[in-house]
Amino acid sequence: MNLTKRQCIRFSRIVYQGCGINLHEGKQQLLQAIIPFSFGSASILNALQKVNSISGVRRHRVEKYFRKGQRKWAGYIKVKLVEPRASAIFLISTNTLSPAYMLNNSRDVNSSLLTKIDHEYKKIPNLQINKGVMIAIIDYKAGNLTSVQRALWFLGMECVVTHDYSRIMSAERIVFPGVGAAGSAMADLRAMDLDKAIIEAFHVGKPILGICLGTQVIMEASEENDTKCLGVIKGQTKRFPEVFTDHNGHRLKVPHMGWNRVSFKRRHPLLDGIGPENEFYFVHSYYPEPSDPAKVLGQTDYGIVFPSVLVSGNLVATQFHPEKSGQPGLRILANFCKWSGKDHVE
Amino acid sequence: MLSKRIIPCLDVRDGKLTKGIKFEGNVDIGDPVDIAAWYYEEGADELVFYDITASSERRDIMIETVRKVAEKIFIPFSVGGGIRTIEDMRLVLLAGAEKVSVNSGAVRNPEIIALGSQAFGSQCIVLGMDVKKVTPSDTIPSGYEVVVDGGRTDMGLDALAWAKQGERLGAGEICLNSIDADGTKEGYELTLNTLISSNVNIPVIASGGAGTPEHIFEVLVGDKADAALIASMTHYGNYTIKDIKEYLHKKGVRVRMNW
Repeated sequence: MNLTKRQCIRFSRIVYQGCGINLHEGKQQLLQAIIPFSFGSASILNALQKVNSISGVRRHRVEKYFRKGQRKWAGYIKVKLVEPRASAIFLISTNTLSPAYMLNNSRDVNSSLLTKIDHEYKKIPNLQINKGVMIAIIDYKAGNLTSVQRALWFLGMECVVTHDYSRIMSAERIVFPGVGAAGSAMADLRAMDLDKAIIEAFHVGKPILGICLGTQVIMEASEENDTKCLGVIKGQTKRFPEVFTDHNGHRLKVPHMGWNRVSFKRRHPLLDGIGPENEFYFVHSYYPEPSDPAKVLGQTDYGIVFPSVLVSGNLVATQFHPEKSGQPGLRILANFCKWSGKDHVE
Repeated sequence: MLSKRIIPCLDVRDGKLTKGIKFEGNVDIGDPVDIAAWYYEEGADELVFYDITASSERRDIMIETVRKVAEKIFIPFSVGGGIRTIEDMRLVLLAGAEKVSVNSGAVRNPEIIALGSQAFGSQCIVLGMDVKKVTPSDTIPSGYEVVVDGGRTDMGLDALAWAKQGERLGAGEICLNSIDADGTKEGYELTLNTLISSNVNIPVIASGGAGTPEHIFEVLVGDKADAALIASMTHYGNYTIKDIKEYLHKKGVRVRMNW
């Protein structure tokens, strides 16, 4: 007996909505094989069409498990059928989905089972998120903070949006996002002493991720409002030319808005699992240009080839928005959350 | 180089999804959060939500929808419909939308574009324009007139002049809807798109009339539009985003193929 494609799709959607786990095609095939096996009877199979709740999902367990070639699971979902009453638990990793336990006629997951799952879970060191390890998202009134926060939550990370010096300095790592103009951003940063906090955090070696405007004001100065910036990386932030064209003579618009590729100059832990075919969401009129070409990790072609990913020791910075770039963007954020801050491939 | 964007548009009323044909006879076809998550997985490059809720008291339903969508999808999306004040914009953006789209509200009070772009940055202000073809005259030299209230009210405003004014005021993008083509499934209004796109320096999203992947190809090739808005052709399962993108890719239009 097989699930119909429709049932599979419906199931995947419920799982995705319930816990953010993406059952892609490969996993749907496994689902095909496993669901009838776990539930066992035609009546329950039919009832799958009526699945309306997924519970027992703990968001912090749903972190994607990226290491290739390992078949350890990274989270679990519990599927509850209302009529007839039945539940099953599935363990999930990046390349497998397996039925763990099936509980017929039970209202809730029994607690010893959960303890067992917790125990298994703790055996996987890479997935453990230390309590109190916090990501500080620098709050300087620039928009877009909530989307970064939501993306980090989705990855199961704990984070705070803050402009408090001590919280920033006690965080394990720092995200420095931003949308808006360099002039007012720098004025706000200075007014809240956040410029000093970022520079200090950089010098003590905390992993820092700059995004968009955050990336631009890390440079020494920006052409936007002729602004003196943080100077963590030597070089300028420049504007795209007023009038310019692509290689076929088509006029190019500013801002550079939409999806574009990045060609990477070398490997880096931030780029684990990212390839030249991936595209990222950009929206900007200015771009950073470090004086030292070695600081450029990735470049993007928009009429001119401009630096779109920078690296300097424990600082990485993207001109695009990883939090708005779908799966590859989430992957970069997840890589950042695991990154030691050392600039070599581990 | 930049990929051309395929943007499904979801009309929402009282927290439920609708799709209007010629702005009339709308019927509910599902939960917007559901469909948004589905389109995200399917490879949409961006989403547009258009709130056609009649009463302003029920706006909080839309804000709640936006919040739920923002937790599930990690691509940009914009929200439009009934945006009249800076406060309306702030609520939508704080709930997690990347962009906010102004239409009738901006025609009646153009200053909102300037205020919005100063407060939140021009990248998040989309100028939505509903346009219909008329005989060129002194007031409407381009032969395209801006209409509001879902096409019911003529404004005596030239579409080209309005697009340029919108750009000057600080709009970051224009979503250009032809109400003549809307719902016909016979293709975009190419002349209109060429006219506006070649006269402004901000991205233009073509809207109204998409029925087949070929229609999308026609409007995205050359300089007519930077993105294509679609609705019924994918809502009802006639095509998937993947079908459309594969077609465009084969025809040499750069689109995002990996997601």
